[in-house]
Amino acid sequence: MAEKTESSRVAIPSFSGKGKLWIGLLVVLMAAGLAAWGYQLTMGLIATGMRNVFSWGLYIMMFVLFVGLSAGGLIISSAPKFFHSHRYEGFARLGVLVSLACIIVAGLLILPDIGRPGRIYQFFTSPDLRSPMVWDFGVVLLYGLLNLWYLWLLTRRDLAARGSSLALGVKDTEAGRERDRTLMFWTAAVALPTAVALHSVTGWIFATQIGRGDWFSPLVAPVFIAKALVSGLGLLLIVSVLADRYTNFEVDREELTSLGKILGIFLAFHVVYLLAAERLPHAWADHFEFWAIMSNFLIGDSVYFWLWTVVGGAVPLAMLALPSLRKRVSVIFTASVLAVVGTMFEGIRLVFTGYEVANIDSAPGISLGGEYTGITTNIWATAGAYTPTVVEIAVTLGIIAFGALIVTLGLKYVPIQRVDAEPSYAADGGKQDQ
Amino acid sequence: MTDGEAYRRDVLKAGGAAAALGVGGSGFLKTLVESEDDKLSNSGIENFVGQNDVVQTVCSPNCRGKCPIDVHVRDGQVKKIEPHPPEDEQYKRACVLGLSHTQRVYDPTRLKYPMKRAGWSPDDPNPQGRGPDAEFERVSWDEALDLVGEKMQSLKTEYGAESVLFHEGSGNYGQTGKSFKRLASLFGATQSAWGIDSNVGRGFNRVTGTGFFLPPTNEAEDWENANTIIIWGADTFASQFQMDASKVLDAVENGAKLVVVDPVYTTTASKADLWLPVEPGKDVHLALAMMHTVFEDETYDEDFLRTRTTAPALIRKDTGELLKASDVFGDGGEQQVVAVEQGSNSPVALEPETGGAYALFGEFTVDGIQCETALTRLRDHVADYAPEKVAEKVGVDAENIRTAIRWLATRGPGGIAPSYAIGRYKHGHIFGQAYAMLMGLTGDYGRHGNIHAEHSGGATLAAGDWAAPDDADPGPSLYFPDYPDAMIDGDPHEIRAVYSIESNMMGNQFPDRQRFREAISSLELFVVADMHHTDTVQNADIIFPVPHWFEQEDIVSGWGSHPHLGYRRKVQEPLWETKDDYYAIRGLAERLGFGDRFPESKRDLLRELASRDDAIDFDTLFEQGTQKKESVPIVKYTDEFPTETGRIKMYDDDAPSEEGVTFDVPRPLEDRTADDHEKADDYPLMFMQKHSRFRIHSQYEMLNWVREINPEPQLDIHPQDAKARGIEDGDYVRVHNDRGEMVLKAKYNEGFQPGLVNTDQGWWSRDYVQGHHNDLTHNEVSEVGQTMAFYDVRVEVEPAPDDVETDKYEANDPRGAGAEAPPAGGD
Amino acid sequence: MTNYGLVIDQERCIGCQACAVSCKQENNVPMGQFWNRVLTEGGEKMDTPSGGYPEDGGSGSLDMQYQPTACQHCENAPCVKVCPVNATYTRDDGIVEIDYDKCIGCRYCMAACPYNARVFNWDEPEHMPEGGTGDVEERPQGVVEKCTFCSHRVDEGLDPACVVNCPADARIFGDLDDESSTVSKYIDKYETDQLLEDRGTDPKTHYISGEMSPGRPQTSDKMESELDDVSPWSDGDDVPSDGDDSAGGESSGGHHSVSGDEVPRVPSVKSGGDD
Ligand SMILES: Nc1nc2c(c(=O)[nH]1)N[C@H]1C(S)=C(S)[C@@H](COP(=O)(O)OP(=O)(O)OC[C@H]3O[C@@H](n4cnc5c(=O)[nH]c(N)nc54)[C@H](O)[C@@H]3O)O[C@H]1N2
Ligand SMILES: Nc1nc2c(c(=O)[nH]1)N[C@H]1C(S)=C(S)[C@@H](COP(=O)(O)OP(=O)(O)OC[C@H]3O[C@@H](n4cnc5c(=O)[nH]c(N)nc54)[C@H](O)[C@@H]3O)O[C@H]1N2
Ligand code: SF4
Ligand code: SF4
Ligand code: SF4
Ligand code: SF4
Ligand code: SF4
Ligand SMILES: [Mo]
Repeated sequence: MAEKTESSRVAIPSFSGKGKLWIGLLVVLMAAGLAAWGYQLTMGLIATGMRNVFSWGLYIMMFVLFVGLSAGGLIISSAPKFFHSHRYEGFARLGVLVSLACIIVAGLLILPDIGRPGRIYQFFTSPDLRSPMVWDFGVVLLYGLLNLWYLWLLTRRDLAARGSSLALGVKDTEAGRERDRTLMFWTAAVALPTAVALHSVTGWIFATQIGRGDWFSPLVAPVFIAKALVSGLGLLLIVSVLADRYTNFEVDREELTSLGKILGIFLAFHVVYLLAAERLPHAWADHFEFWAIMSNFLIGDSVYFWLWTVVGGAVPLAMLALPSLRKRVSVIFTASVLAVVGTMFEGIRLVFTGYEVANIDSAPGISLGGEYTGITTNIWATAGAYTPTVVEIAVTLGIIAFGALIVTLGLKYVPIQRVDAEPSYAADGGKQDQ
Repeated sequence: MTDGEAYRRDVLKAGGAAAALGVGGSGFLKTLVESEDDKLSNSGIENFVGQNDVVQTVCSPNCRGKCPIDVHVRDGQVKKIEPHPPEDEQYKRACVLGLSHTQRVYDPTRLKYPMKRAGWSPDDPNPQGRGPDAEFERVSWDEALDLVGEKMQSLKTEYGAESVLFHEGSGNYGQTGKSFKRLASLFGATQSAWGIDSNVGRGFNRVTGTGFFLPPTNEAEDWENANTIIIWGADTFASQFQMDASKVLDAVENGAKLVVVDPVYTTTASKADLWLPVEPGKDVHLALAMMHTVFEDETYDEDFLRTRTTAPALIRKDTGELLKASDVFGDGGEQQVVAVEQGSNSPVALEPETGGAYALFGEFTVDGIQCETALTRLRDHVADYAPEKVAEKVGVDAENIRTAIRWLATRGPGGIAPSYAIGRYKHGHIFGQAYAMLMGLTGDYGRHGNIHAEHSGGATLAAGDWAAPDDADPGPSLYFPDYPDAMIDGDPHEIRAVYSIESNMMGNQFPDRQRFREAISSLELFVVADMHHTDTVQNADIIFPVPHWFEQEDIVSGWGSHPHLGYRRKVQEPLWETKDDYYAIRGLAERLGFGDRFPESKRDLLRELASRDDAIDFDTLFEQGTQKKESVPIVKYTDEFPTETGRIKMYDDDAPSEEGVTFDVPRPLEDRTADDHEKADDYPLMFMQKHSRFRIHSQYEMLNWVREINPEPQLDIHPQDAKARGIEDGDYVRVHNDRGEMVLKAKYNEGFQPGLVNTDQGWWSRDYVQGHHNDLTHNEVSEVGQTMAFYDVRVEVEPAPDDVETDKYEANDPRGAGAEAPPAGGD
Repeated sequence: MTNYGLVIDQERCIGCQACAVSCKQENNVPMGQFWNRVLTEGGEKMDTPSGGYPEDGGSGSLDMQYQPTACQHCENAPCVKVCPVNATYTRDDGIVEIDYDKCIGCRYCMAACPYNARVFNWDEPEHMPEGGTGDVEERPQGVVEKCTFCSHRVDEGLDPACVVNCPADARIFGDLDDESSTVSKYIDKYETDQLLEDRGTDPKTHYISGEMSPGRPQTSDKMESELDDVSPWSDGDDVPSDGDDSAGGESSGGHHSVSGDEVPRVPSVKSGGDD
């Protein structure tokens, strides 16, 4: 406890050729995204595939995904701290870095969705506190700041030790490290409910809406939390494995396997339990015969449903359930990818269930307000259909690339990898004098 | 406007007072007060209410509407249209089309300059150059008028004045026609005789002595007094809705029973208490079954029959003629008919409007002549038409037939309101005769609440003989259906040139378009005056560009239900080089030597015409913008009928006949609707072209707002007929018969009778993927009806060939009309 | 307080689209957008019925009605609650309106509205004719818009454009808080529905179906509250009278047994016009 050694290192000491290629790729994607956004700004949202009948699209779908993704890291790094445990310590810094990147991506995804981005200041000048979107705006902001603070807190002494200016003048003293441990405890204590709040509030954006059939369900918020756990942890595992492979970052295999198991539990909770909880009552209420109830319950409607439940649920769950498989990094990686992809389709499905069917669908229907890529050639539609345009895809990819860049730069400039294990917290660890 | 504002302020005070009286006023008051000062509404959007110049004028197509409207103009632009309440405010009205003039006024299809077809010259008309590919060059008005004047003069010399046909359509309800006819009369040209819509009216006329188009009926304001309304072959709420919807609805709301007789479940049918889904062309059978029911129930109005009809008149069994007073009494009239006194059996000469104890039924011998009453003859005639017996043929449940006529016969005043649709079957005149007699049985003439037609006649300007001055030597007139023969074969006489106004004959007005195209191509000169570049204009040699109604001054009158005359004030000066028809007519008159017979300006003309109608005062009309013609009776048929006997003819001994059938009593006769028609196998479907709420004939086709709602022509078809032909909803189909074809989108419609298909009329050829609805219709008319039978048409439908280009409507332009503008009006 | 509402009599509505188009005209609604749509309750296409064509000559099972649908001006308006920036708000007189200067174009309100009453200017708004129409300015690209109950007219004491232009007298506008207004009386007397009642939005647009109402003859463009005499309604606490109930004294057949030259009911419309 006394020695003060170099206790961390950066994952990427310097960029290799491959690394530069990677950065180059990200820059290209970002440039393309920026250009696409510029185009969209001049054209307006007519450049998207959204229309009156289906008025939220890829941006919101991805917003929902990235809010979820931003959960995993923070929870993995703060939950143990809250319980004064050192488990998964090796993932803590990377986790917060990924969370930070994701919440930034999520926040940025809102911008291109706004019809008049120039008026965004109205959020501050004229907020309506009844609006779940205002709550969400606040909580996303808070969450982003919290991540930033947390990442800095986790690494500032190491940064100071390395003489990085990112330490912002903080000194690397043992007392300071002790004090930070306490701060970490309290931050964790704030971070956990904030994460829960973030996902619940984002869920409530939908769940409070009586206008769109399936959204109006008290389960949406819990589902969002479950989703966040699944996808967030999934993404953390993906990034860890990739970092382990391509950078100096090293994962503890045992912890990896253990987290894989946790992912399995999250998946089971999400896809099996919550899905049942959501669907069974409806199936039961709507049908009479046992088999009718069962088949309605078991058989989903859209392709997105199947992508989510089977590809993103049942398959990774099966992979993670078998201890022999779970030990393999490749299995964990694949299962995580599937879980993230599955969650993405759940978000897509959510938006589709809101817009596909109109409450009032008599002819001629809803006027579209512009050329429509859906099923009809005139200005009316009685049902929603949506395909994102190239512009939307480019903007989205650009923003995601920006997130990836944040992670990459984090791996380079922030000491993500701890070298020595942190001494165990004493039971009174948080109360030591400073 | 200032008046309006003053009024509003008064109201403000009133509102405040009301509020103070306890309607919880403060909020109310505040809103109003705030808005007084602040022209920016809360939403931060500028509010222009009260800032427009409002010009009162009249809408004028052939819809019978003649709606007085207010045109709001701001910054020199027409900004909106609203209905204007005339003196009798219950006649405030307008329809979706009139409200959309904003888009018609500035539409790119408007003609701008006088034009001459490139390649046409007076000596070498090059008729083959006409048609879709024709190109036009701009000429001056003087040049255009010179060319036409000289050519008319030379044709007159060579072939006689009647070789020039003055053709007038129905496009404008102003006074242009009168000056047009005057010039035609003075010149001696052939004049057009209307051959559309007159079938049912002619049949009605044989019974009552009145009617040519639809017979007179009580004015709309009286309709709410009806207890039973049988709308027969009319989609009142779609094609006449613009004027009378609220009136019919008021009657229904008051408890009237609404019956709709129509093969289609229309908007009107959807409001009915009882809908009779008659088979096309079987209306006479149905009417006879109703008569049968009246006789069976003995619900005929005996008093009415004795007083106002020839029901008691005696028919000679030997000759089939009516027994005349001159046959019986030495001093009896030759036209006067005879009845017998019930009980005494003594003959009496029937006076008009005189009741008595006349025997309605029975056989009598008078002066040795065996006779029976007209009513007996009629009863025996309809004995074969028991509802059960005709039910299958007409497609209507027997009990429903009875219910419908029982309502009319027993619930007090009411009537039958047919439209023109039945007249669009070749022998439609028989229906006119049948229902006129049916209403004679129920006694529904001359009372409040009686209805005889889908719309009333309204007010017209009676200008006497101005259009046909005494000293003129007018040429012959030619029925529309006779045009092609005259043009192609010179039968009954040769037509070398046509001057057409207010008509879209190639675009909608005339059937059998391909034959008509051939007819046109035999002309040396085709002059068309219009405001839009229609299909007809595209076939012209000389084009006279006419201004929009908002740019012409006129008195709007004519056949139609509005009881007011309207003064059509100019809203703006004519755009481009467009000029009122009167300018061209007078210009030609000058060139033909009749200049002095035409007042100098349009205003003078209108003043002159108005001065000839005692019920109208020009200055009042001019100032008020509308004037109700008080001389128009609200209730019709209160006086003696204009027949030889002054009575409704329940038997016609002087009836015309055709195809071996005499119409002494109504005898059903069918043409293509007959199940055994020779073409029934090749062309199993009947094809009609309903009048749409989205156009008045071919007018308003270009309204972008309306095209958003009703983007392209469609074929209404029952799914059963479609599926039998492998046609899915929304597929493009080819509709064809031995005259032509059209390609358009199929629309499944459960409301259509299987076996019957429809495309709403009025679409331009540019709107079809291929062809046109009038490529399928024919020009055969009945001798008696002399009316084009647009609906009496057989077709077959098949999926459109694969190579047909439908991208016109797939080109995804949801923000405007589907079709592109035609070759410009000359810019 | 004033609380504006609209009654639409579906028994009277003939689906003529005059309200849909005059709304576009009055409010300068861009091409491709409708604030007010006349829907056909029936078959899958406009102006087609549901059910089957009668095979036996009877009246069959065909059925069709029109349902003009615009913003319902919900009492408990979800769009108002979700708008993050207070751009959508409820005025003191109950009209739900948008402040286009504030609107950021997030379209949350569109997601919230169960009626799809709102449209968004995806593109640069296009008008025919180009200069625009009606009595309000156009809205910019990137904002949401919808029926305003013609607040700009209501502020001036005029009925909404769609109400003035309905040829079937099927639309009646007025103050729901005023018991003597026609809208209040109609809601009282006739069977009226609100759309998607189960959503709890409590719309201020009420639909009559089942029994036809007399409608309110639109003989002027003024709101009922602006007319000194709103007979034929103001003559009693009942709904619109038939005008001459007193005159007839007919026994059977109600007021319909007018015969011969008896004086018929005179339409009991009083002047309320401009001049
Ligand atoms: N909006 C609008 N209004 C118009 C016009 C317009 O173009 N547009 N045109 C005006 C003019 S000039 C005219 S002539 C009138 C025409 O007015 P209408 O003649 O009333 O119009 P249609 O729609 O042709 O026909 C009315 C109904 O007759 C039905 N029908 C067809 N065949 C038969 C049959 O054999 N028996 C029976 N019982 N019913 C049948 C059709 O299904 C249709 O519903 O409308 C006038 N008003
Ligand atoms: N297949 C089929 N064809 C039909 C019918 C049908 O049911 N089926 N219906 C028939 C019936 S009932 C009728 S009444 C006819 C109507 O046929 P038309 O009388 O041809 O009526 P519109 O189509 O209104 O065409 C009138 C033309 O006049 C023009 N116009 C308007 N105002 C003026 C003006 O001031 N001056 C001049 N010079 N031109 C003006 C308009 O732009 C328009 O092009 O159509 C008939 N055609
Ligand atoms: S088109 Fe006919 S019904 Fe419509 S507004 Fe004009 S005149 Fe009136
Ligand atoms: S109908 Fe829709 S837009 Fe209108 S108030 Fe209700 S929720 Fe809001
Ligand atoms: S789109 Fe405009 S009005 Fe709608 S919720 Fe967003 S800011 Fe409010
Ligand atoms: S009240 Fe005004 S804004 Fe609303 S639908 Fe009617 S016309 Fe349109
Ligand atoms: S204007 Fe009146 S009748 Fe026409 S669609 Fe609208 S509500 Fe119905
Ligand atoms: Mo007609």
